[in-house]
Amino acid sequence: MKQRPNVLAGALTPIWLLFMIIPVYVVTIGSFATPQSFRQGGPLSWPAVLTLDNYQTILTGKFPGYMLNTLVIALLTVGLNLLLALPATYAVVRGRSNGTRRIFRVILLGLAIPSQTVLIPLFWIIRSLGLYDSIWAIVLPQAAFGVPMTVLIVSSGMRSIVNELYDAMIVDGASVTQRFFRLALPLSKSPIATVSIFHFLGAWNSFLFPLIFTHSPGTTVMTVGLYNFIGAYDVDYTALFAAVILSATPLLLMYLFARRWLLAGLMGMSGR
Amino acid sequence: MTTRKMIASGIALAMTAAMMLSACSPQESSAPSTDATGDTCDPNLELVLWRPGDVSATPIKNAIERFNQTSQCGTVLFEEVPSDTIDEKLRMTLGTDQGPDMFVSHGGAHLWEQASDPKTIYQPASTEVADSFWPWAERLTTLDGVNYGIPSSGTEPIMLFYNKKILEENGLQPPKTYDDLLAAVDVLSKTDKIPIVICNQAWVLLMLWEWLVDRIGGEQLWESCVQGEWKSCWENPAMLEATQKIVELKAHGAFADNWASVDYGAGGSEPLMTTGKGAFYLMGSWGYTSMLTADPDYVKENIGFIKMPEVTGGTGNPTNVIGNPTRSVIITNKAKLSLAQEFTKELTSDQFVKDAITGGQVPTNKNAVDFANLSETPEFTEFLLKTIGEANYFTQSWDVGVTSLGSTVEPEMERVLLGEITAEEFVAAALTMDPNA
Amino acid sequence: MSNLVAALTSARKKARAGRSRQAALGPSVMWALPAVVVYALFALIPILVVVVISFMDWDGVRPPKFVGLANWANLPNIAFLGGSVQIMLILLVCSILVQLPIGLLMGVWAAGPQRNRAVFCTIFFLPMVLSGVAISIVWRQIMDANFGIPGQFSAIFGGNGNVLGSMEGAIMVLLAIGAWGSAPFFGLIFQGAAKGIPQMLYDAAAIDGAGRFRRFFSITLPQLKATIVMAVIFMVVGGLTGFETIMIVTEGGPARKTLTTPLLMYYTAFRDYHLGTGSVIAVLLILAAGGIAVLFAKYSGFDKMESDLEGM
Repeated sequence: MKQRPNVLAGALTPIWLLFMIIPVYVVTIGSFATPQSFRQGGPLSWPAVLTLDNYQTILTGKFPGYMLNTLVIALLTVGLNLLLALPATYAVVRGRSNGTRRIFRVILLGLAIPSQTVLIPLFWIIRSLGLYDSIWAIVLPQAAFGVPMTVLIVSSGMRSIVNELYDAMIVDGASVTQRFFRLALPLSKSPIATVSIFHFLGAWNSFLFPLIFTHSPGTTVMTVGLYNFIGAYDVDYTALFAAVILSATPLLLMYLFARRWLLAGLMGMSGR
Repeated sequence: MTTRKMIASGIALAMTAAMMLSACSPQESSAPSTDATGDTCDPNLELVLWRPGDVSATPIKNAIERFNQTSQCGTVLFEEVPSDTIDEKLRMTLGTDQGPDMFVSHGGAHLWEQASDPKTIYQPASTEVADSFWPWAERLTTLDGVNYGIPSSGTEPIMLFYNKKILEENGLQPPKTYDDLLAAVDVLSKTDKIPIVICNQAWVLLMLWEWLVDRIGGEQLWESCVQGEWKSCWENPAMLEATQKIVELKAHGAFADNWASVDYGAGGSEPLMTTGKGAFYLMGSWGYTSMLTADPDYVKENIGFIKMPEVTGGTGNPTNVIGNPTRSVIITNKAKLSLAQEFTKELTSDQFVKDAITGGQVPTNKNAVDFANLSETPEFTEFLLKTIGEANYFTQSWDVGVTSLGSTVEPEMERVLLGEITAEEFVAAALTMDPNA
Repeated sequence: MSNLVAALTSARKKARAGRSRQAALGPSVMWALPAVVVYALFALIPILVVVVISFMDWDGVRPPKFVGLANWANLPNIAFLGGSVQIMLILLVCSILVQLPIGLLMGVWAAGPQRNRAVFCTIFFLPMVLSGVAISIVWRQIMDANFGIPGQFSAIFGGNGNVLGSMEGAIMVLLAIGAWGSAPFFGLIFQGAAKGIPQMLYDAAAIDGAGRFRRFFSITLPQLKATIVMAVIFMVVGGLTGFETIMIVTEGGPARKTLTTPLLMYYTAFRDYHLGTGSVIAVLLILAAGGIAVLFAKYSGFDKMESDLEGM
């Protein structure tokens, strides 16, 4: 059957496209402009001279260090999160005791606790543990707060593994652990991948925890680096834009290659 | 993934984790000396100094480098902490292992508030070193007769910048009094130029009050506000009169309609001056250096500067200055005291003064005037030296001394300039906002 | 010798039987223990601590002083609390009204069979790779009154380009930034969900003569109900607690007109150092966010653990 052209989509799409593109244009073009031309002409102007100076400034400064910090922290956050949450998910999905059921409710409740509201006590706890200004001051709370989401999403995928498959393994004499590693995990690869990417994104772009719990260059992440840029009296916007582009490039590459996983896993996330 | 693979990656993760943890331990090794004044000379000793890393930090960074090259007894590490967060970080870490050994502070009330026991945590500055600086620069770091800070930064008074070309085109002279300024505003508001440039940062609006309150009520008025006489201070008619004058300026079209969308600095207010759209700009001396970086030729040719105008009939001394007297190095580590004091001597060196002057600053060293000819903007440096030389009193910027103003009085100032509240309502609101209550 | 072997064999058999009886029982609570411990330490215990601090007077420097219910009794007097709740609710409702339809339309469209979808999709979902900080900084620059878009296209933006300087303008900008940054995320979720709608439902409807709009409202929307609910929970909790964007773009201004309650909490605690009062506000927000999330969770039945595919 021939589809009639979708007029609505045809009309709205270009508008939305323009809306989406303008900031991207400003940042991209701005990063290649000189501060003078940016100041004179404003954000939308096409620079008279294109320059790589901004990138040079950023890459020879502290920013690459920040990038490394961000990468390490993001990887550790996801790693710790999975280490904690995957066994917990298994317990929640396959556990037969009342304990596991109650645990699930408690963990779900956690989705309702936004990290911003416990900044004050977290600060006190981090200090008391002597972790202030260390990578762990960021990784531990971030991983902890990500556990409910992992449990929620992976459980939604893991529970679609029908009982018969487990029963077959039990008959073969497989232990609980073996069933975890050989059945539950492999069949949940998709939601695990999705939630890992989700948490990686979140950790990469996280801002508040690093802002409040760290300060030295050895632990500063890119988001805080960007924020510090604008806190100074003399802001070099073109250099700032170059930093923004650099901060997004790794993610962009990831996005282009991992989209397939993201989409496949999101089906599980939608509750179906 | 097979079990073996998972275990392997788990171990790898744990090992990485352990490495990271040990590498990032915040505990500092304590100095080998147990002597109270830390007299042991240990080349491995390191002093950590916290300061924002803006352009004004160059002289002290150079001083640190020179010191590290020649010092036998330890080195100094410059750790850049952004000005937005340094107060908070100091609060949270002073007196603990994670705090700095030295930090740079504006001084004033918040210096004493951010440490649980300032007299124990802060170490007295070497009087020998302190003698090289003007006494007024050390007023804000002195508590109960003991001075804790060594000045390390250029002095930053507020002044009135003006666009020479715009004034010439309109037959105007740089205003000496408020009435002159009002008359200029009347002329300029009929043109397409912005008479007085302001922007969406409340501390910029604050300067209008700082200027007028000082000229009308004198410097002791604000001091009384800070020293705990908040109520009687705000009930003083000078406060109301200052506010009314600001409302008057607004009514005469002094400010652009869209000031609330204009950002401070290179992204908003400064281009208005450096592209010839604005006539007057009330700002601290750092504004000049900042505009200079944007467009040196235009600024050198067209941007002039004068003292803040007086108010006829006001009781304030017209030579009074408001702004940031200096930023001082405060020492917080008792065990490394003598090393730290040794470092502060570097701040009195000729090279330090030269670095500051060539960077466009005027440090508060007594001998700074000897090096004035090294400045790339000699006219501006002369002006700064003259201004602070003849100043009767140097009031600290209100919001630097009382940091809570940002949440209390400053938003009300915004509302005055937005036309939402009257001058009377403003004073009434400010009366309820005693920071010491 | 054979007795030993027999004994060992039967012991092993018994052990295995015991293990498989155990094994048939499934994973014990111990599997969830590490997660629960870490989560308790960094999420649950802090909630208790926030409540405790709300009974104290603490400036972050000197030791906290216990003041009982004083902070709570002072609740009606907390400066700007009422106003901030109002602003927060306005922004919340408007954000949902803006982001939900956009996300839905984007997701459903992206799930369809149109050509050139891939290119558009890449652009549409681009904001997801940028941090909230970066997005806020860039937008703030773009909206400068004189040199940004409002300045250069003053006709559309009302004369003097004063967008961020008024409450309406500032709210519009915040909504625009929210839409720009977050709608793609929801679009992605809806795309995933929409892909899972069985094609046979649409085919059956098409055969019955249902047009595009009819199919959208009668099939797509109902099938996406669970996802819509989840998206709304996200937005509500986000609106009740997020403040990064506002902090960078307007700093709660002009004159506190975009000061939402979470931002007020942050300023009260980390800028003015009234951590006790800040904790009071934090507790209120936790109750609100928690209450809403629990309500929705119960309503949509996330508790059930059986496979959706059983019986299909």
